[in-house]
Amino acid sequence: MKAFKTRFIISILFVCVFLLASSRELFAVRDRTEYFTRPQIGAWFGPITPVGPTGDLVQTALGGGIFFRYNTPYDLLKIGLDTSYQHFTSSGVNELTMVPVYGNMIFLLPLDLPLRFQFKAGAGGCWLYVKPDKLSQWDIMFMAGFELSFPAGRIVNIGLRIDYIFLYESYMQGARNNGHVINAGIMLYFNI
Amino acid sequence: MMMRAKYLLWLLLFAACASLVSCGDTPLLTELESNSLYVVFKGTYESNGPADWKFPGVTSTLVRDDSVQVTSFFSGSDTAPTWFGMDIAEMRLVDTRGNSYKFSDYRQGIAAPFSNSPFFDGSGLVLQNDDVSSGTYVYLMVYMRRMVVDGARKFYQDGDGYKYLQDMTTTFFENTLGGLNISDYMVHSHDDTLTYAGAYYTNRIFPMLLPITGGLTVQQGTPQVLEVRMVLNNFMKLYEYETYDSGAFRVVHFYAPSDWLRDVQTDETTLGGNLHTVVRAYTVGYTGTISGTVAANSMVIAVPAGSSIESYTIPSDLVRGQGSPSLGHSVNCNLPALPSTPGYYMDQYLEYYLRHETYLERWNVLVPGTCTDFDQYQTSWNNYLSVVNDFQVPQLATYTATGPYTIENVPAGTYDVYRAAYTPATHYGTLFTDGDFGTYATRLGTVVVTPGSNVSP
Repeated sequence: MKAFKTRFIISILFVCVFLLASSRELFAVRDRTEYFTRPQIGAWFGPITPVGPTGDLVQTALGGGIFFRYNTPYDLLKIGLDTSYQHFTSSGVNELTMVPVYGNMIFLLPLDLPLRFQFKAGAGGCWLYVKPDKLSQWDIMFMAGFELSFPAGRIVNIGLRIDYIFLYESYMQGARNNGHVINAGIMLYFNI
Repeated sequence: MMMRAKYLLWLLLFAACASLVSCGDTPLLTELESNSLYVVFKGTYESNGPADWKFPGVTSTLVRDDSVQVTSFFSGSDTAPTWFGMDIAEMRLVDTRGNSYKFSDYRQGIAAPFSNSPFFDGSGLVLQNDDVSSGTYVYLMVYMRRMVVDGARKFYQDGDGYKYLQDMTTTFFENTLGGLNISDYMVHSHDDTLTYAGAYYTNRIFPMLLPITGGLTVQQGTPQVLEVRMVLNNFMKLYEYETYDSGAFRVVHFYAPSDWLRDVQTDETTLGGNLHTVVRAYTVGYTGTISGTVAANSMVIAVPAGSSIESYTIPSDLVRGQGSPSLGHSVNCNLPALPSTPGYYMDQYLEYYLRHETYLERWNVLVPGTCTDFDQYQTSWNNYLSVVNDFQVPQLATYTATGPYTIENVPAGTYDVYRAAYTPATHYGTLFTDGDFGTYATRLGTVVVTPGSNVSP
């Protein structure tokens, strides 16, 4: 028992030393920021989850998309164009296919960390196709999201993102619900 | 200046993309949620206006099946059933190409008292489902997890005879209730067990494969009703099975649909093939009614014009394992079933050997007495099954106690209307045999029904 305790304390100390050593690196990469202000292109992939009333109709699936971002004169703000393919099935006959196409503004939190935190919000159109009704149309959509990424060199960025997509239908005659989808994913994008 | 022009260009690109999008005005997500196909379950032979529940009493031979051997008691006895329950796992529709669509992925239950319930009064219970794509569907598959009927009781034996021990309990929708899960006994019929395929692959209730008479043609947005009827009202009989509690002999009496079509014999627990169903579809607003007046206590049915009335009846002299002597089925090959292998107790072994002797005796009466070879055995059972499998429940039927009748929700078409005498109390547990509805010549008439019309034969 005593031997176990000693080993436990040693391993805790080891972890602390490692964290202290690596934290120096965490604050020492300011110069990399400038690469991040370049135009960016990337792709994401991950679970797409219908929530609220939409979650009663279809189930979580996997989806993915691509995006492009362009910088503005203000370094912390970018404008972006985003699209993805999202196909939801259910255990019954219901199926929903979504292709959101939207523009968004991306705001980088001004923190001196290699990890970058970005908030974004946008609007656009979303193409929907529902089965078994076999109907399709474009809907108005809004989105808000959050991203966390870190650079892997001068060009490559790796990150995680989570977006909420709101499909606006309640203004239509006979509508009872709007659509709600949460996209989460890992992403890879490049400073070009 | 150059920089500003660049951003302006991007903004213009976004605007161009946005202008390509012209939004629709159909709430698709609401469309996905709502449905225009209504599945209605009824527990009656009649499509509307069914006879009331008339239970003739537990000692009536109409209720107590002839397979029940333990009929005398010193204290405590059988009790009447009061409710029927179904636990449905899911439902699917099968199209003309054989593809199945799980259009109801909802576990749903029906627990209906035999009297004063929409399930038994003709109005029906609407089940939850989603829409299916436009197309034609020919089968409905109902996945039946459980069927529960109350009134099941267990009896024990002592020196004085049989005595009441306890009410049977079962689990229904995660609750313990009084009753017995009869779905175990409805999986096979006796004739299923005679074939290899039947004994190992046939399952009559999971799913219950129900042909949709006339098919279901779905057009998106058109409200349609799929009416599923099971003959349960005035059709529950008392059966018996034997069991052992730690070596002590017990008898259980329970209720299940009548064995009017497929006879259940002593020592058998296969009751399958006795749940008579009919599924029909109609479009809301495109139906008419058939009405008129007949003698009191009548069952009036409407069948597609020209169809044989004998499809809706069976020969009155139907014999299990033989067929109908009036149709020339002369050889009886209703051979007894081998008693099941005994358990671990002395009583069970002694009982088994007695049953085995009875089995040998019954077998020797038929073989080689009447049923001389395997060909005859096959022919006799095939004759029997051809009669039994041809039986159908009519799509449209109504009961009248006083004379005036109305058959509702009749899809447009031409129908032959027939009438049979039917008194609920005396016809309990039975349906109709050849001649009950008369012949084509003696039918009430032929009617042409158009949407919104009310016609009389």
